[in-house]
Amino acid sequence: MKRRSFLKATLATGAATVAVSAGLLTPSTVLASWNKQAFEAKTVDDALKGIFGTADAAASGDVKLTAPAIAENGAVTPVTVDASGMSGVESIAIVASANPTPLVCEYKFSGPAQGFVSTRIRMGSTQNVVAIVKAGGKLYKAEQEVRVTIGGCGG
Amino acid sequence: MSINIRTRGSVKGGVAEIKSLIRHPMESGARMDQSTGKPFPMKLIQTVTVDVNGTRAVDAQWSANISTNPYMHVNVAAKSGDEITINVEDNTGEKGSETFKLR
Repeated sequence: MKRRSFLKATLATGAATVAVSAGLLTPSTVLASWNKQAFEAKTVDDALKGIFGTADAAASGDVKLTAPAIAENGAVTPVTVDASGMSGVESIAIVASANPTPLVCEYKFSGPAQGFVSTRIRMGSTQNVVAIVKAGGKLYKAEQEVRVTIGGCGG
Repeated sequence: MSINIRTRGSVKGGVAEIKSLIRHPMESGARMDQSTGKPFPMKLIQTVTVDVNGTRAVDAQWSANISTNPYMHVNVAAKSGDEITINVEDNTGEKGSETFKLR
């Protein structure tokens, strides 16, 4: 009896391990795969198409983009995107239009999250920072020029 | 070795501000090491998640356009006592995880 229950336990563990490696069971810490195509895109349009399938975004005053008019240090430029006043916010992307690969980050929101993110980005030169918000299936954007006196890409 | 994440959560009304500062070089792989003539190897946090009481709230992807030692602030509907978990993973497979309870 003991041997049977021991074998049963071993088989169950084995089956679980096989299931995880086969992708059937996803541990909660497994993270989404990185969108290489969008992050390696060299133009803003290609980056947005890589993330959202389209680059068509309507300028909207509901997308509140906060960034300095002049960045003291291009390597650490604070940017805040506040779309918490909009309903149905699914995701926010930030794009630095003149960086070699413009896509900075993408945030998907679900459950209790608000449509808001604040972060610090690298800007290689004076350029427009664009915030794109996907809400209710459509894209909205706001942009602002940030002047950079000291570049932020290590060059 | 795992990636170090410092966190701060503060509840205001029904919303918790979740702030984190992560120790990480965010190396793009393009920056040249002047002394060797070779690029510094790519070491970049690519995926970040934030969960509230086990429920996924934020699923983020980052690039080398995010500054070294990344700072992130997101807001979630939450209350005192709720548990926040932040998970990160970089391109080399190194991970970081931090769980804390909102006060």
